[in-house]
Amino acid sequence: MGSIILHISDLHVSLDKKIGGESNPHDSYLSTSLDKEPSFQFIDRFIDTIKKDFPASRIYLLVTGDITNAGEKKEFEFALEFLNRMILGLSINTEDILLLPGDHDLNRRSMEILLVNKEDSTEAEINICKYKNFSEFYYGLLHKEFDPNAVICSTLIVNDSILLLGLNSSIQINLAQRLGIIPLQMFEEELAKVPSLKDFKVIACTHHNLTSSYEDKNNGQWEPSNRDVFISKLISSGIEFLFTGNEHSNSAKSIKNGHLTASDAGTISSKQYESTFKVYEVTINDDIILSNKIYVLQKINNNDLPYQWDIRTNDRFDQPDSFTVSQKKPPEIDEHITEMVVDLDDRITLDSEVVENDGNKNEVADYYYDPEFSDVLYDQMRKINVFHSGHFHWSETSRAHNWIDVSKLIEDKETLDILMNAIADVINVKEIYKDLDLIIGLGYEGNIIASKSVLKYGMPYSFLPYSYRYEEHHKFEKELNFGNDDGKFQNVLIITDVVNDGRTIRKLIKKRHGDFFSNVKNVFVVSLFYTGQESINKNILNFNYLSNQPWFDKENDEEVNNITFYTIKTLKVEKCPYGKDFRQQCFIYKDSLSCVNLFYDESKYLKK
Amino acid sequence: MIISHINTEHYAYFKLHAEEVISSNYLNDNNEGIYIRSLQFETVNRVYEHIKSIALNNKYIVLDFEFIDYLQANILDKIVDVRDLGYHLVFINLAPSILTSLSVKTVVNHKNVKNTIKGFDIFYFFSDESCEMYDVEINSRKIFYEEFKSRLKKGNYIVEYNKVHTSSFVYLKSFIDLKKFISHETPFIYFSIYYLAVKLKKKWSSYLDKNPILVGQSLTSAFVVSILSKLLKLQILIFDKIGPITKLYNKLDKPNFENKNYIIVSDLVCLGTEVKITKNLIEFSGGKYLGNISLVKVETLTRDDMRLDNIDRTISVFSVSDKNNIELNYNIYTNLKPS
Repeated sequence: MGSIILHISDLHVSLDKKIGGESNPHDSYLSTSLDKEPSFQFIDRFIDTIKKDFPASRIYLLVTGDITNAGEKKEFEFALEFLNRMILGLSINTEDILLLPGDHDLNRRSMEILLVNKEDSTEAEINICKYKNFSEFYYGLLHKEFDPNAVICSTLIVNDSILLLGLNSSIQINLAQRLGIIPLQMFEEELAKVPSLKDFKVIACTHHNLTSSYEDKNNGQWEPSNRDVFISKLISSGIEFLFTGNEHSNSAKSIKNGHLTASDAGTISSKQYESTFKVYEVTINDDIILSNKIYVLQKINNNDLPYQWDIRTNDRFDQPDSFTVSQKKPPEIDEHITEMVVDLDDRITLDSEVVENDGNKNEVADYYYDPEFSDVLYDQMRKINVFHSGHFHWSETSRAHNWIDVSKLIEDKETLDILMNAIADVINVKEIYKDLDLIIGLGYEGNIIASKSVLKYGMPYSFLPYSYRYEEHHKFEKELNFGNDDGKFQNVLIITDVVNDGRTIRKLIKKRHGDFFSNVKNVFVVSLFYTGQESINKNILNFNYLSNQPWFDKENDEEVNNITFYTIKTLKVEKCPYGKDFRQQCFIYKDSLSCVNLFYDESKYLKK
Repeated sequence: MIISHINTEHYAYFKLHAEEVISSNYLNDNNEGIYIRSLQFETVNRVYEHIKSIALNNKYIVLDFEFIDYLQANILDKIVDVRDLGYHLVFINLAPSILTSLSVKTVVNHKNVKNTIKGFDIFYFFSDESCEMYDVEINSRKIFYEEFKSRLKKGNYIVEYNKVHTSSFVYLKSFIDLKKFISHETPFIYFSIYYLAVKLKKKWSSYLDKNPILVGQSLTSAFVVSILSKLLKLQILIFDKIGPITKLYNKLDKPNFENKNYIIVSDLVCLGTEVKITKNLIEFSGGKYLGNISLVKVETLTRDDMRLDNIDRTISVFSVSDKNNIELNYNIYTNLKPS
């Protein structure tokens, strides 16, 4: 017998009439109308669909809030009846249900009355008051108490492998606060008390959405000051998935370069928006995989076949067919890099890749991301149109089919300010400035974008040409101009515009300026873009890490293992698929079919 | 970081506008460049903390208020704090608009005489009847020039070269290593670049009205361009004349030079050959060359020598000329014998 997680959200069971008897226009198919048949019919068609598609499955029910529209007692009475009908019809054990409150489940009217009578009410008192109706409903449905002052409402274990962690993102919502928040200290304290947490793959569940697919913003309906720390806490706790509702838009979206994936069920009952829910079929073998099935309600207008649900393919909906919650073996990378068409409309990030460090999958990724800089940088790149496709050769071994023309990006004064501030922000956020002894700007662009940080942090500074351009420069321009025999420079920061596999940086450290760097303890590298193929993490430029990758060419590289790397934005570019024999194998180069852009003098190689 | 601190024989010098520009543009994000005219408490406090943290050899401190038109409240208190560290203060370039904030009337000193615009060129913030400073010339331009020259000499930035200059057919006896100067003369180099920006604004204000684009033509000048761009609020162009970027521009996305104005930025202009190449490339592409600026230029012949018109197309903060080249050990030779 298989299992499914049935994810519904935002039922918004609504008052049919306002208090006093006036008609109450509302958006939900589920209402408190005395004529319950339309609501029952809606529930029954839903039950039919699930029973038909998953006839012998154990059903775990996840309800991510907004059961009612206004948290009114009458709404909850009807909601209890509707959900009981659903549970009974689908033979769901009440122990297999995780139900969270949404911001529409708290009763604002009672909160107002409380504050009128007792203006200095504590947050705990307000929570008890605002969730009074919900608590009664909760007990009536699940036969257990709801704690209005706990961040972790409840947990649900699925197939002894997955733990759904129910979080109350409305806990601090009151008459003034409307966005989702998870108080971090409470979360940490309560999380520490969840038994056997390490034995499960944890999926966090909240009502509020941490990101958006309908609204044109990344922050979702979440308090910005809380969002970043909460995301960081989830990631550092090994939580890589988040199931939400609230936005009334069915979606799946990556956050923080794919380290957290959010799946939103949408609203199950909306006349205005598209009504949707999700079914995650649970497959557990070596890996734990959840299929991502999206159900959509056919829009009806007194049709003969009301409330029909059908499954939607994800092909053009920008959602994966499945979520790999846990993977026993790390993903294998093809030795042969296949050609792909680069489309700027398709953000080429590492969204779906698994974080991995030196083969240890569970190690938490350390990387930089701030939408103020990471997303803005990407937007500027698109706006100024500096992402080029073609054949770009930087050296005999470094060739790609894409090029980010950063020199063009920095021509714009406002963009240059953003780039400089972004670099300075990485140094600040990652606290690189502490104990830093020297900054090196690499290349024209690195030299330019470094200047603000150099002045801001008052650091000794030098700049060097790109490795592939070394021979073109005057001998004085190739000097580092600092000696390090006495080990004075222990921590050195290299600022550059684009890093691919980091070969040129390792060459710089080991070969070009080996004497200086032999006494350097830590080399920090900060770039605007990372264009390589690894999941972003701070150690992906180190030789030992790369040695584990099948594509890595050890012979032509330098053994450097003290690099800590941060980048503002990750963009995967397509590498040239040919090897040393590209002059013979690449017909585009060989027959001059298209423009091949050379960043180096290849004449000396041609003579050989 | 205090960029303008210069120790002279008689006093320590600080240019408050330069420090304000650093506070505004680099420590905060006001992005007003050198156009900022108000002095903030934070900046004076930074100067105070700097002075407090070091032992100055002189008991006199000169605070240059040039380009400051407004003072934030309580600045005088902090200036008095500096004085109370045990120094005699001298203010120079006081605009009339800041006299009240500095309470100049409370200081009785017959040496303090207002200038024609009702400000003070020099103001002694003490009342001593006699003082050695009364006879000391305080000229901010000269202070900077002497400091630049002194650092060039002390740091051995002028190195033996003996290289044939192939495009101009001369022998360069020595080379001024400004890349090394940038790395080793921190933070004075930032004061130098600030100075260059101020000079450009003063001399070429009409050019600045045309929104010129600053052109970086070498790795070293790219750093200068980066800071100048922020101080002057100008766009930049990396014109890598020897490298492939220029080739790629021609193939991919050629910039539109038409009807745009360009100022070439160099670290060092020796014979001007590289500037001319860049100038020709700009003009060939339809752009208008306004002039060139550099940290150091070598004046082999002056404009008077060449009897050129008065339009000075070159600005630098330090010149190597017949007045200092022997002292600096800088020479250029040809095969021709002097008569």
